[in-house]
Amino acid sequence: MIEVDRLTKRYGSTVAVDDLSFQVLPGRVTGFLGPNGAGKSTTMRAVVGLDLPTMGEVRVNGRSYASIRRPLCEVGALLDASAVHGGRSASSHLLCIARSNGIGPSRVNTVLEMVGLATVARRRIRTFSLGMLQRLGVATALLGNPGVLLFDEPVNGLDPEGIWWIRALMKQLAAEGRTVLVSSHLMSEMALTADHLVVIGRGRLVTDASVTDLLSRSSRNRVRVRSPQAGQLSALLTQDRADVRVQPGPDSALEVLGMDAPAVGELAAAHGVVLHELSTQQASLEEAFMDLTRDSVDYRTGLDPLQATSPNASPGTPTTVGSRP
Amino acid sequence: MPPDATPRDLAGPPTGLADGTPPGLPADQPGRAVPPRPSAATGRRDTFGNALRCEWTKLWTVRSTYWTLFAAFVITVGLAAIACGATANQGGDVGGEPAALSLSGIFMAQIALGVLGVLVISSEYGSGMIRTTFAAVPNRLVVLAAKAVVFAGVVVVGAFVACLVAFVLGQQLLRSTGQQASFGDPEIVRIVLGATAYLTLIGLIGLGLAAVIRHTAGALGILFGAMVVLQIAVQFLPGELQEDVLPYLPATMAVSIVTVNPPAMSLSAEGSIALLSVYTALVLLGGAWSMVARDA
Repeated sequence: MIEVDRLTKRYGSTVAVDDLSFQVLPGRVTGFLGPNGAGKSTTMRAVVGLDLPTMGEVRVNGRSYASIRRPLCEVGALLDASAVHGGRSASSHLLCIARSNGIGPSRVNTVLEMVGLATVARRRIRTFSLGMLQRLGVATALLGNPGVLLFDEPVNGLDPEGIWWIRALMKQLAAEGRTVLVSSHLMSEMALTADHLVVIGRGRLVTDASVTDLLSRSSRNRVRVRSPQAGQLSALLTQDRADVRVQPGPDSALEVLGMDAPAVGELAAAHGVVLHELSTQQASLEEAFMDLTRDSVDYRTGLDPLQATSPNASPGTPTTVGSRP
Repeated sequence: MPPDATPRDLAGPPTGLADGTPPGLPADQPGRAVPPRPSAATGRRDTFGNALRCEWTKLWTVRSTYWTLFAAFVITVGLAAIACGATANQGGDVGGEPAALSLSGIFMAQIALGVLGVLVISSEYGSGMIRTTFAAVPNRLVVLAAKAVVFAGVVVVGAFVACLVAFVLGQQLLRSTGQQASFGDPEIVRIVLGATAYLTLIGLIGLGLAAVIRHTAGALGILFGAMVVLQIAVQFLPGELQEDVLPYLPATMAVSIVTVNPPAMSLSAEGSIALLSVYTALVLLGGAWSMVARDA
């Protein structure tokens, strides 16, 4: 279990993390999401004591990281896979790290087998591809067989097989009862892995919710309806309902926001309107994420990417939990 | 010795994942019992011992260690052979300092050992490996101390062997001139041990500088600036000022350490070693402060 407690980290006048609090519980994969520059890496570095908090603290299993005698046996972290000395072989690299925590050399071979690098154990790290470096980083994290694992952007540089592998690994680690925190700036990636999401933007907590909750809350959920009497239906839907909006969708369909599919169906039936299609269009996790972080992107273009790619997207301001004023 | 038995065995390790076999377990089973994990705090109080073993392994698993130690040895012994051989060949006079002549290689060898000292730390900052190191050993003073102890231990042995071989070989070559020294002569043991200490301290200064500067090139620049450039710059000072400054420069101290009769304008050999130790301690303290106070 990881507890981030009112963590604040400033670099000069830049506030990287701003009064951030959340907990990461064991037994599930927690996705740590935010746009680039949101403070994900800073937070993760603070967990393993690399960055000293300006204020607040981080506890792992109830203690500060620095007070753990053999930290690798409690917390494993993959923060930057390329942060290795290129001149060492993979097995020498792992052996050095194992020795620092009194971990026996046999464990080195075990983790190399686990990540599929056993055949290149004697090769210098300099010759490794990005994907192999990621696997070596995972091996390092697993070295002490820790109950808490942190992965910062683990799928970077992996080939499709590697991505598939790391997703399965994270799920397995969580299923074994470990605490797993995985950061990413890609919501779509998290949709496939995470059970729970902690979303931050500009160093602040945007939301801390399960994936299911987040999806059902998104303002981009809409009902798609097709009818030969579209004009009549549209008028019916918006009549006396200020919170319902109807907009044209693809294929001459209508998209209804602010009303669920049963209600639309019942209304149509009551007025004898023929429907050819009635379906719920759930927002993708990516859209939900964009909604949440809309106000907290550091480097934004003048273009709203959603508006640009999907002309039917709602321009409405999303309601978010815990979003900044 | 250490808790060599692997920590706990990974309960049902995802071994199958190595070849891409599915792990079989669905993600949504958080109800499963957490495998018992004995607290790491119950481990033996051998944090420093583990850090030493870690740094020892690090030192001997990169090529630069072998290259720099090899270079230091070859330079020390090679220059002894050249200097003493040439002097003997020409029937020259060693000015009563046969030991110094055979140890003249240390002025070059210190560069190789300084490079090694710098690399022990700067290679980790340069690559980012230092973050892995600090995550494994959160007490950064333990990291620095372990690095310094392992480095000093290796260099003391290496430098002593090199100085010994250089001295014996050099005196052997000087035999034909009848000016050779032996271990029975006054100051000789002090000179060989002093040269060893000098080389080790210069290496440690490099190590400490790298902890402050964090960049290989920057740390090397300052180290060699202090050893060589400063010495040259001082030559341009007016005479009196020169006399005030020269005795406190490393190169002058090296001369007084390896000579039987140190030059007039210099500290005694013992004084030089003591002052160089103070320099080393100050640089290492600066390094310790920098490591602890600044984010990795």
